[in-house]
Amino acid sequence: MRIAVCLKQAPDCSSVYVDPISGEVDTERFVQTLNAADACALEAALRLKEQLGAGSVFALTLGPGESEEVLRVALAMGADTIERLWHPSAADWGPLTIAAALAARLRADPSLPDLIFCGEQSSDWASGTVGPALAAYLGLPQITGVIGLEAHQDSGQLLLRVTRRLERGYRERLLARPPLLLTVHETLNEPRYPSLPAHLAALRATITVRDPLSLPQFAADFEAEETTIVEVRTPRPRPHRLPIPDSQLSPFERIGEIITGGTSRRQARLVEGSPEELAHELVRFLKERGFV
Amino acid sequence: MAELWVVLQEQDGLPPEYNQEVLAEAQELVQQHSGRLQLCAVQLRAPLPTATEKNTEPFFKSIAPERFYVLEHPALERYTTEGYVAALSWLIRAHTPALIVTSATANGQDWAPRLAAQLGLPFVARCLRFVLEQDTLLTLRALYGGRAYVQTRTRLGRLPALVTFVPGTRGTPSASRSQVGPSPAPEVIRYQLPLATEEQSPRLQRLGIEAPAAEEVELEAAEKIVAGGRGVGREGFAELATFARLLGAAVGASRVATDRGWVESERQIGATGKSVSPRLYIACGISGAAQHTSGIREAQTIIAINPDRNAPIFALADLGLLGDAREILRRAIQLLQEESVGV
Repeated sequence: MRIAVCLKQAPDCSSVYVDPISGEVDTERFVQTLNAADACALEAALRLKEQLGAGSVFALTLGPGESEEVLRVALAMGADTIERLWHPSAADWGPLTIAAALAARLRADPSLPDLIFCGEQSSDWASGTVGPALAAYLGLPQITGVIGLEAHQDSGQLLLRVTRRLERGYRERLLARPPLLLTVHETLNEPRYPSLPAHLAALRATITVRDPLSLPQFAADFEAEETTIVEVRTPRPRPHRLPIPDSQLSPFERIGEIITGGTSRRQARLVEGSPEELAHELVRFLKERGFV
Repeated sequence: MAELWVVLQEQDGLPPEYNQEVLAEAQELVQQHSGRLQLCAVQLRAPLPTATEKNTEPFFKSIAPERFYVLEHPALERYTTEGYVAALSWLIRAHTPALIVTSATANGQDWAPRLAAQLGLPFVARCLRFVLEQDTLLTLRALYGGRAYVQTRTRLGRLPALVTFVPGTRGTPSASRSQVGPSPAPEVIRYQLPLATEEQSPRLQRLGIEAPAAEEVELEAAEKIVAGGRGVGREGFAELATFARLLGAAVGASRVATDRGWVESERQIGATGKSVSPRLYIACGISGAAQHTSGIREAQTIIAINPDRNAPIFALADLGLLGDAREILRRAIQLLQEESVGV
């Protein structure tokens, strides 16, 4: 079982400071980390390898020199091999080109990995595009937003029971057989902390760097990716309309209405009595209005 | 005339407002470019046993597109990545639109990037706003978990651009006031897709979709909510949850209850929590400070249970019960249980 995990170095969101006036993002303050969802993807891959008792985990990233940090973390956590892709022009690449570069790298091996794990989205751009695009380029089926993963051996074959996150608490259950690509939601698991010796060993590891443009199968459609940044600014919410408070009311009540957004007053029917009576009244009311 | 497509999404648990919202946003864009853009909706579905045009109606309450593409194929009975990508690729080849928009739901974010990669379409995910200016697409999106907004510019080529729109950004469009009379019915174009039936990848088997337990339903989506505050107490929340389960309601809380750790913080309703719009809201042991009631102004029926006659929550309630919430809930649970056994 060969598993590949695609990782990204991204700033920890709590370290992001945007100047409220100029809208400038203070990149000096960024604390770069392994993207949270990617860490869960790596953890899922490592757990699967441990459960099967065999296999290898290949951690891959596309990024500048600093992003080797995430590969060292991956190595310390238990990845078997690591590699970094980079080309100076890649700083301007969009997610589709990045996915094409990753696809070209995975195609460069004699065979594709059995499983590919990605984080569902990154903490910075959160476009959630690289995973599905990579699956498309490699012609693999995909499952996005994985929040539950169990592996079983079914007559010598690996069978994955996957839970996918949908809206509003709904879940989709799937059965999957490799090869396929999974994008992992950051609630799937709790990534492990590497031990100190493993961490120190990882600091000394040499990391292979490849230029994606030199890969034979890299055919990115740069034209499709001409998305440029016009402006970055502080968030401004959409305006929310509030009803004008009644001028007959006292200032206290008017302030109250502005805060509550004009919650309408109703004719309350106040019922007193023993708890039994009140419980009966409650159930009767619920029935009368058709709630029970 | 260039077409702007809104790809409608249907799924268990997916509120229809998500589609309405994208339609409303798209219509605004079409109005800005009147005469040059045409609003079209796209629906993917399994062929209906009795094909009637009426089936299209529920989507278009206040906003009617000029065209309505209906793609039918047995494999589109339920969502599959391959099915959506194949069907939409086919339709894009037949009628190349200028822009395709859909809601950035779990499924929208599943097929849209894949479609973009397969056809090489310019793609901007999770937009908060999108505007067309001649041959460029301007979008607004959140960066760093919403700490910054970024405006991006994408040049449009011969291929359509694809955009996913973050649901809930616009809110449910209220009934349009400007509209005079019913909007004209869209021109319906139905296609039986000439695709192989094996759109589902054989390595992937979709077992089904599970609804969350009623008390776990996200508050914004809940039809009924039973909320507790200081007057319920830590232990009382167990009873409150039982009552909610019997009623098929979600559990909510005031800030006191979440701050003290009686309930997880995502259950908080009010100014610093969530705004909810259930049909039934039962406030137990909540006095009704403005910070809380600002979150329930959309609630239709409100029942308040509180021992304090002067609690402001009673002014908002349809029914007020003067007493200890825990005691009353405990007995109401018995009553409801007896009844369910009796039936």
